[in-house]
Amino acid sequence: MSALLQIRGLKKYFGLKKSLFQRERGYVHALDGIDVDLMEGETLSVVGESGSGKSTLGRTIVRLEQATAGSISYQGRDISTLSGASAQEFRQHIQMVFQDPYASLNPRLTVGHALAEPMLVHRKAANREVAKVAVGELLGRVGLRAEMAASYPFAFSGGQRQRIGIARALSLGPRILICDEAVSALDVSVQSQILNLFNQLKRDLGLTYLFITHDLAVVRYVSDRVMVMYLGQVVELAPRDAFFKRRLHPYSKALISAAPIASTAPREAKIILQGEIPNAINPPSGCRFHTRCPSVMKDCHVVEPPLREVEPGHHVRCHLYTSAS
Amino acid sequence: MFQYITLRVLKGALTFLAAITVTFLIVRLMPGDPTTAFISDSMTPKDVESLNALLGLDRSLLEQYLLFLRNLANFELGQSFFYKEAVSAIIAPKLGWTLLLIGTALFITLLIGIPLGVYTARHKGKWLDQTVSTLIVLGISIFIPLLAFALVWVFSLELGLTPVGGAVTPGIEGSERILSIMRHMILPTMTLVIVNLAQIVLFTRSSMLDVLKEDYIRTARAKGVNDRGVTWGHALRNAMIPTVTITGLMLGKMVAGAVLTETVFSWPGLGSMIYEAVQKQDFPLLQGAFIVLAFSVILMTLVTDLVVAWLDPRIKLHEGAAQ
Amino acid sequence: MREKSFAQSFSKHTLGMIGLVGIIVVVLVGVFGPMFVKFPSGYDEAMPLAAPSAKYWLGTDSLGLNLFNQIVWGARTSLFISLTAVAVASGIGVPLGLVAGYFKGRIGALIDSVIEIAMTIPTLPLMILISAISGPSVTTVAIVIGVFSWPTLARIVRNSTLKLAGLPYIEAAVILGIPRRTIMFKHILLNAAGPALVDLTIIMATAVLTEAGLSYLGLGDPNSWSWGGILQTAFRGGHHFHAWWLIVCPSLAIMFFVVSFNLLGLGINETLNPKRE
Repeated sequence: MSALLQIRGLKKYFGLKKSLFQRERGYVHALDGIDVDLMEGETLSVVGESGSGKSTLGRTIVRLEQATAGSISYQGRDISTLSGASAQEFRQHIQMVFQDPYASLNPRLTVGHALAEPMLVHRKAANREVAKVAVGELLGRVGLRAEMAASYPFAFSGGQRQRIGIARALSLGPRILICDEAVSALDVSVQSQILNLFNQLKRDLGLTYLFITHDLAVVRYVSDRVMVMYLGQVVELAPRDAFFKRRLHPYSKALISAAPIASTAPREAKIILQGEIPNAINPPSGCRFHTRCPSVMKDCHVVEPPLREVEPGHHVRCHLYTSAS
Repeated sequence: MFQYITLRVLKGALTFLAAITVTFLIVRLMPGDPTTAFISDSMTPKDVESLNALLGLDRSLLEQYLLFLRNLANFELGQSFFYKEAVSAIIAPKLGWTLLLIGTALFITLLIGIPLGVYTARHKGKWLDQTVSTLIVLGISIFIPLLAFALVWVFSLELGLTPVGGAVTPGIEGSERILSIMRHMILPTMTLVIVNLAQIVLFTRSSMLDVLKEDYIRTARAKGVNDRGVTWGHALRNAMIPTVTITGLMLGKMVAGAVLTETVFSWPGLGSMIYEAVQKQDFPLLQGAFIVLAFSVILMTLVTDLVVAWLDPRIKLHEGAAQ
Repeated sequence: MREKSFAQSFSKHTLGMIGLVGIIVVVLVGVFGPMFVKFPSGYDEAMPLAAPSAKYWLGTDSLGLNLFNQIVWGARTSLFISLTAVAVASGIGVPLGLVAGYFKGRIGALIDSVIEIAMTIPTLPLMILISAISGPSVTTVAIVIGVFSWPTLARIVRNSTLKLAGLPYIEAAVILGIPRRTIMFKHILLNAAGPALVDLTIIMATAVLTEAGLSYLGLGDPNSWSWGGILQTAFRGGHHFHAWWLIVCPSLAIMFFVVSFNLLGLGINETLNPKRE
């Protein structure tokens, strides 16, 4: 398996403007040095609280945000700095599915128009007739009927709209899909349907997913690998089973113990973190988690731990694991 | 706060500059010989010469503009074709009459309009609201001269209650004079009030309805604040902000209304002066009137903006916030 | 969850529908009327200042010309004025509003300031000045009204654009590589059209009122038989107190036009922002 996307040292800072007369004072460190490879054909889940930077990661990859530093390599080129025609071309390869099905479709465009437009813009369909056929196929692929192309979004339910959104993302034949909380706004019963759809599409079309979510049950269901983010950094990265069997980072442990699980089997004690997530403008010194970590040690205040591969494929950013190997 | 005031004043000054520059350009760049806009047939060669010197009509456009600005700074607005006097001298007393009319009309409009808007918002859907809403639509559609004539017909001619025109019966002094002015003011003010009332009620009602939907109103009700307290205390203060803003914008429309109203009632303000100036093709007078009106409106808008700033805590807090 | 389409919701709004009907009447009269009704010209000694009768439905004016014909031709003028004003205002205001709302940086702020400044300048005196200098012409008046109406429209479009630009479906369009121009003028504009349309109805209503006002001040074009022009002739001639039809009919026509458009605007506005509690 090769790495489809290679992210190195990715940083995204948002400047804070105070007023017309003052210059920027401080930055929000949304992404502070991300290194990760997205392997071909995998589903990599990115989990974290709000403020962890997971959404920013997805948005920076699709160039909704401009990276402040670092690189994102796809097919050997750094896509974070592309412009013009090459940027247009790259759009065909990486697409996004959004969270809110009620806000992700243009209410004034018919479904058919919304799906055909990208194809026509990128010349993947020669004319409207050709596009119409392709749209029918796309709708079929996501479990909808071709006649629905003539309707407007208001006629559909949340689940159906999400399917349309997925179809739209697939219209250019991308290889990578960034799913930004793509099922979080759906009813639980619909969620499983959509998740199954994702799995099926992955098999049929050979897709690679970056799945951004805060719901660990979803993570468990779809992922090949799991990446945990905290305050703009990766704190743990592991294959799914390894992660759920034995998570290493204290933060990951707290996340899992907090997740509601429908089971009467005995569970490990709940870890409740003290305090709140610190603000991203002035991240804590040393290890960013040290302010809330139940296992905090002396060094944690001072030295920032690097991301280290502690077991094959299992990376952690924590001093508990960086002393002697 | 201070920063806001400074910015706002700066913007006002810029607006005024834009307004007078547009005036300058209109008069001089219109098709036809620009000098005819300032030189009428009834002027002697000597007049023409001094006018040329004053306005620099034979020099480049830029030089004319600078001269124009300098004259303005000295309150020099040129000489009226018809009256052969300084425009500024002619305008000064008339400005007072217009401001009196507009000011009173504005005051009464707000006095009636805001409570009415609030009331109809609270009792939305009931017959009073429906009636008022219908009247509002009629109100914003009225053609002023028609309304003015109708009022004169009914109250002055048929009923003989109010004078037909003018601002004051000549020859009276003292407190009687004030009463006379007030009598003469009734109909013109009524005209302006009716036209603008509709606008204010519509807007107040609309913003009140928006505000009443907000969550913090529900919270106040849940806390047990009675209906009146909610309306007048919590809701009104926030609904006021857009209303005050629109008052500023309405001033421009009021000026337009005043022009038409004054003409019908022969009210000796800037409005009728503009009418006369148009009839007589007295361009310096027209230009001067416009500049003065623009200044007044911009100033009044500035004041309302500052009032909004005082009312709206978000603007004060905006600068002290940490993020 | 099924929502209703705009047309369905609008049809439930009584006042708005009344306005729509009124406008259709005006359009029919203005577009087709002049084909059946003779253009009033010349001088008919026969019946000056005749009261409404079976022969002259609305009476005649001081030149003996049929008032009914004048009103019908005036409808066409009113449509012409309001549509021209709308065209000019939209041509300037919509693109500027879209750009100001979409490009948030310095360009946006700059256009914003221009809009604010343009909005504060009192317009009628300026219109009077321009009309006085350039002479009576319906086209000039219409263009001038349009030129003074664009700031409000631009402001509305800008506010809508600001709200819309951050919505996911717009972001999706960006990610899909839809060109910026298409995003602004199709994706955003289609959704910003609602409030803008409301303002357009106001512009149309105001245009006719303003033209009537300018005519009243003597700046109109009598040959166009605009309703304001008919009123102007009537007032000027001093006939208003006994030839009431000369005042009432054009005034009613103006009010009908203006009220219809205002009702339509109200209907659209309330359909877009239902204020049910």
